[in-house]
Amino acid sequence: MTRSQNSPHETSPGRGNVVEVRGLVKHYGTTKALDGVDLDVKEGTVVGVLGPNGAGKTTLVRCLSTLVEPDSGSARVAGFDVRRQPRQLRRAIGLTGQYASVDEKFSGWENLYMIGGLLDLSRRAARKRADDMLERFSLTEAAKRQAAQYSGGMRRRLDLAASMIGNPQVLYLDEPTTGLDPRTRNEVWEEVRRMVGDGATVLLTTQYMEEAEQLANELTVIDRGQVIAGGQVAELKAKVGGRTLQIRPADPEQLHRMVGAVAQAGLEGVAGARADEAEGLVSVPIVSDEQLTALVGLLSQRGFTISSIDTHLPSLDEVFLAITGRKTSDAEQGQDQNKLEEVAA
Amino acid sequence: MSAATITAPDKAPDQQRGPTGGASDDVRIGLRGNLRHIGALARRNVMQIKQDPGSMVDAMLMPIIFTLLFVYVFGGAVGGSLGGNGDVYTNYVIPGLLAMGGLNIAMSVGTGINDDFSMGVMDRFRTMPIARSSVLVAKLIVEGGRMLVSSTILLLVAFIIGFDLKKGPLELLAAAGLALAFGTSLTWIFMLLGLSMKTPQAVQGIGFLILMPLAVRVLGVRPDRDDAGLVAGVHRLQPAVQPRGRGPRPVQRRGRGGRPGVGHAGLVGGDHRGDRPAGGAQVPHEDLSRGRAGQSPDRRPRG
Ligand SMILES: Nc1ncnc2c1ncn2[C@@H]1O[C@H](COP(=O)(O)OP(=O)(O)O)[C@@H](O)[C@H]1O
Ligand SMILES: [Mg+2]
Repeated sequence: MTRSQNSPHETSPGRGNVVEVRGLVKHYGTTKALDGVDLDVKEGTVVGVLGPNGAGKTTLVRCLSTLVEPDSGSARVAGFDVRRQPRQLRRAIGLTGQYASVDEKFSGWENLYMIGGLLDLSRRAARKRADDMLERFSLTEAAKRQAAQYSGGMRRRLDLAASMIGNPQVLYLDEPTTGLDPRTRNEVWEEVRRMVGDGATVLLTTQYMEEAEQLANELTVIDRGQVIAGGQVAELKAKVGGRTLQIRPADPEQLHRMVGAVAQAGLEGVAGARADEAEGLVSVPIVSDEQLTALVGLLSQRGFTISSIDTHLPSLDEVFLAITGRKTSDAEQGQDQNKLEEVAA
Repeated sequence: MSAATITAPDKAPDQQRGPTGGASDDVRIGLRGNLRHIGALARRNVMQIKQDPGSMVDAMLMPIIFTLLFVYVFGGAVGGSLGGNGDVYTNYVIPGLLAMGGLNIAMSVGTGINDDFSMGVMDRFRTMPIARSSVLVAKLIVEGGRMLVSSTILLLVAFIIGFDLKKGPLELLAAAGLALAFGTSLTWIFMLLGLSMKTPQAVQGIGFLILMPLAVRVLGVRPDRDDAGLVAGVHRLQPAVQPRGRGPRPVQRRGRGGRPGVGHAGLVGGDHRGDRPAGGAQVPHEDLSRGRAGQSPDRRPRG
C-alpha cells in the first residue's frame, strides 16, 4: 500500500517527507526480508512500523541507515539517496538499534564524549554536549559509572542520548522497549515523547499496538516484508475493532452469571463476553465508549459489584487477525518450517 | 514519485558501490576529519586496554613466558641438535618470537573487531559520518603500539638470557619494524576472520590453529631438518619464511668460525631445501645439517 498522502499545497512531490521509501526489496538468501515496502515519514511526525518478529522491521531500519544495501527499490532520507549519498545521509540520522549499541566498558560520559568527537565537535563542545545529554536523559548521577553496570532502562536512555548527540533530523528507534519491564518502558516512552515535543522526526518500529498508539501519529503494519495496512493510528484502530473491556467482579463466584447477564442483555454490537477464570475477569470486546457505559450501567442495574474495570488494546495477534484474517505466529512457523526443509534437503 | 527521476542517470547503482561507498555526488570525509576520527577511535581503543589491563598483561607476559619456555624447556634438546647448546637455540628462536609477535597483532585486531561487532557498537560507527576504514586503522595503530611494548620486553628478556646481537642496533630496529609490518600486512586476513566468525573466541581459536603450526614448525622455534611431505609443503607455503633470495633480511646471523650462528627465520627466512644456493638470506641450521655453510655471496668470513 502506498501512503503518499502529500497534501495539495505542496509544490513538489515529496516535500515535507523526511523519509521516502519506494518498493524497497531486500532478500537474505531465499528469505524476503523486505518485499516491496513503501513508506513516508513527514517532517515532525512519528511513524510507527508495527509487525511481528521477523516481519522485516530491523531490515527496513538498517536499509534506511545505510547498514544494509537494498536489492532494489529506492529510499531517500532527508533528501539523500541511501545508495548514492550514504555519507550525507548519515549526517541526518540517529539510530537506536534493537540491541543497545553503547560501549559497555566505558562510562556513560565517555560514550557520549567519544561520539561527539566522531561528529567533529571540538573537545570543549563534545564535553559540554555529553554533560547536557546526560542531564537531559537523567543520567548525570551515573555519568562516571561503567555502562555495563547500568540498568536496562538506563542503557536505553544512554543509547537514545548517543543517537541524539548530533541533533539528527530523523531518528530511528528499532523496538525501543522490547524486553524492558513496564516501568522502564514508561521511562523510555517519556523520553521519546519529549524528543518528539522538541520537533524530532521519528521512525519507530514496534511489536506492540499499545506502543504504537502511545507514540505514533501514523502507523504502517508490515508482515513478511510487505506493508499490509497503514494510516492514521485512529483509522487503523477503528478497522481493527477497538478495545477489550475487562471487568472484575468483587465476588469471583459471579463470573459466569455476569457473562450470562451480558449475553442476555443483547446490547447492540456487544457479543462474545467470555469468562477468564484464571484471572477472575470477564472480557468483552467493545468498539465504542457508549458500549462501555451501557455495559457498566447494565451490570450495576443487575446488582453486580465491580471491583475493577479496565480496557485493553488489541494485541498484535488480534490486529493481524482483523486485518489479514490470519495470525502472526503462523507466518513465523511457516518460515521456520521452510528453514528446516532447506536443511533437510 | 520515484527517486529514479532524481538520481543521475549516468551511473548504474552497481558502479557506485564500493568499500568506501564512493558515490559521485556524495561528500568525502576530508583528511583532517579522517585523522580526527582515527584519533578519537584510537583513544577509545587505548581506553579499552586501560579498562581491561589483563589484555596488556598478556602482551607483557607472553614474550617472557614464551622465551623462557622455548629456551629453557626445549632449548637444551634442540640446541644440541643444532650442534651447540641452549645459547645457540636462543639466538635462533628470538627472531622467530619477534615475528610471532607480529602475527599476534593481526590476531588481536581480528578479535577486537569481532568484539565490537557483537556489541552493536560497530552499527553505531557505521551509521555515523566517518570513513568506515577509520575504525580499522585506529585499531591497527593501537595494536601496533601494543606489539612494540611486547617486542621491547621480548628483546630485554632475550638479552638478559644471552641473546647475541651480531649486527648493530639499527638492524635490530629494522627487524622489529619488519615484524610489525609483517603482522600489519596479515591483518586483513584476521579482519576477515573477525568479520565472519560468530564470537571473538572463534576468531582466536581459528587464529591459533593458523598461528601455532606456523610458529612452532616454521617460524623457527624449532629448526627444520628432516621434514618431508606435507610438513615441508606447509613450510614452503607459509608466509613468515621467505624463499631464499627473495626474502627481506634485516637480521642475519652467520656462522662464525667453528661455531655456526643460528639464523632466523620468519624475518630472515630461507629455502631450507637449498635449491637456490645464491640466495641472500641465510639459513645456518641448514648449513649445519647439510654442510653448506659459506655459500651465500654476502657472507663475510668472521672470527
Ligand atoms: N543478516 C541476516 N541474514 C539472514 N537472514 C536475515 C538477516 N537479517 C534478517 N534476516 C531475516 O529476514 C527476516 C526479517 O528480519 P528482521 O528485519 O530482523 O525482522 P524484525 O526486525 O521485524 O523482527 C527474518 O526472516 C530474518 O530471519
Ligand atoms: Mg528486529
